[in-house]
Amino acid sequence: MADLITHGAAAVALKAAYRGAMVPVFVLGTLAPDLFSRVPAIGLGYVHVHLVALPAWLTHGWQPLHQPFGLVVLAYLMAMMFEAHVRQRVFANLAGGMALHYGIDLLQDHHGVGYLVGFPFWSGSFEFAVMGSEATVWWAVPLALVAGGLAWIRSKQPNPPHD
Amino acid sequence: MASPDEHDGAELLFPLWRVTRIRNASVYEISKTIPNVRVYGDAQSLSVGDTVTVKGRFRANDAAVLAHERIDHPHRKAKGLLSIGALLIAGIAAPRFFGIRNRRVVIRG
Repeated sequence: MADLITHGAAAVALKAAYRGAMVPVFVLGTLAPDLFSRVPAIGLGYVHVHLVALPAWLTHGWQPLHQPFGLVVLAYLMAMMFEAHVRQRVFANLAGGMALHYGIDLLQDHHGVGYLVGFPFWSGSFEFAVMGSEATVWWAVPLALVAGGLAWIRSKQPNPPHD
Repeated sequence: MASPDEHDGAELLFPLWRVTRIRNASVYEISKTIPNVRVYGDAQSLSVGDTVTVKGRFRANDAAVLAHERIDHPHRKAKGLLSIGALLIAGIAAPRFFGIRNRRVVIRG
């Protein structure tokens, strides 16, 4: 995973670039893969290593929520929490944000361990491996500033936003 | 591993594991899903808490890994801090953009 500042800034910048609506939902979608898989896995992994042994399903069971099929299911479940008349647009924006997240993550190189892009239908892994897994640390804050500036400029323009 | 002898000599990859103990200049331990895996390899310049990727062969008789490559991840903590910062910002901003009405999430603004 790239850092979440980079993910969030990329989402804001992309939406600002074409003046898209539902920016908070799109950003939520781009944060969701790490929020629902990495955060519990890292937290429970810490407990497992330092405090008390936990069963493998508890430390590894979150991984499908960082894979395409699991993310589609997650986007559906999250969209169902919204009011009925916006669910389709919410689902599309959540899924779009998740796709952006995954696209950025796939650029990383994990030295032989890629992402299980086809789970549970295909067990192979894949990644483009064009940048290191910490490469985004250097441009996260500048990208956030650019994204914020772009969003501010777009907010001053009169054209109505669209999905 | 339940049956280490069956995996003697197996090529293993430990991506992004944390260094939890430095025994000496050529032996250290890493942890992630398995606590305190002993690794034989260059431990110089390593500190407890560092994140490393280790490639090596499994040795069954002492359940250790003979490392032939170590990739350091010195910016892992910075990456973690950036992500924690992003989650804090998102958590603070969330009530501005989302609310609850009739047990459903509504989008504000």
